[in-house]
Amino acid sequence: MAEKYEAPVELGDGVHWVGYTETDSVFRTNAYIITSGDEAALIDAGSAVYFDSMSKQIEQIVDVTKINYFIQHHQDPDLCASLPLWEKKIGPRKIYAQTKANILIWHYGVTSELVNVDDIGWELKLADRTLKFIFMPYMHSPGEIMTYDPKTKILFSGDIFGGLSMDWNLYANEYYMDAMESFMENYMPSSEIVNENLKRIDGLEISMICPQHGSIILKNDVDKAVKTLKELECGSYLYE
Amino acid sequence: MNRYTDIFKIIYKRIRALLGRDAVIEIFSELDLVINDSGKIKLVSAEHLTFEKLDQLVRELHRKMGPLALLAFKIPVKRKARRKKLKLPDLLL
Repeated sequence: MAEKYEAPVELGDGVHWVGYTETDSVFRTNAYIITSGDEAALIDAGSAVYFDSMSKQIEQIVDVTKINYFIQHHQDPDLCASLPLWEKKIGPRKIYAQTKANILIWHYGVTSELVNVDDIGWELKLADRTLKFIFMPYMHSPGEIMTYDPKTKILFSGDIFGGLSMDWNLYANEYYMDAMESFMENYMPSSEIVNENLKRIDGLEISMICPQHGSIILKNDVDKAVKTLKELECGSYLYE
Repeated sequence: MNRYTDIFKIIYKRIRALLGRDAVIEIFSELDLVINDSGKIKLVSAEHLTFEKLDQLVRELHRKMGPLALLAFKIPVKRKARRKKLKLPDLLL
């Protein structure tokens, strides 16, 4: 039985999980919000289907009109379909994504300014922290990014490190590596690409990994999760 | 060891992660695929882990959960079957 959360969960200084809770789904989506000074950044705005429940969760944390930034790790509808609904509710803001993702996010009919993180030095300065964007091309989208918060050491990983589970827990349990393998081997293109990209987080101090699907991986399991992903046979190996 | 044992192990692990421990035990128990040995759940002996049982299990998972259940294990099962030159149920082809 999946865990139910009726309220946001604080993960670190100014960082909250604000995912939806009301349905059982293998593709459960997580969203996270960072409040900083008098503004907020919403990470992976989410599905249109769950817009109402997610916005109610966020309202428990911050006045939603304070959201100035939408950080989108790639362009898929489970991350982006709510963007037009957000714009209707609070007006256009700034959408931060890699160029190849923003080209496609435009097709949702958004009116917010599309900011290509690769054009602005791969970072976003907030009042009390500077978020760093990490390029992870083809994992699984050509414009895939992750977001690292140096203040809390949290890595927001988008689809990477995500898992498939009906038996959802907010924090990864003893079976999560299997859940992660199920998702990753279906969506990652090849072991070479996975291993090449994971070099970009080598040496990064990570307090937890917060994926867009599945469960949050706490510090004690971070190395295990990285090792599992590095050793996963995925993508092109399907056809060996 | 029965040649299908590894495939049943993969499916058990992946469905446990997908549906939870209680649900996987229930499904596998209905098909007489697990035994409770002093509180420790394990697969039945290898000679019962046949192609016919595998076909029955895959059909039951598909009936209960649809194609999403198969998504959780289809790739490693196909890879294992290819390496061991094992026949697979139609739903996994």
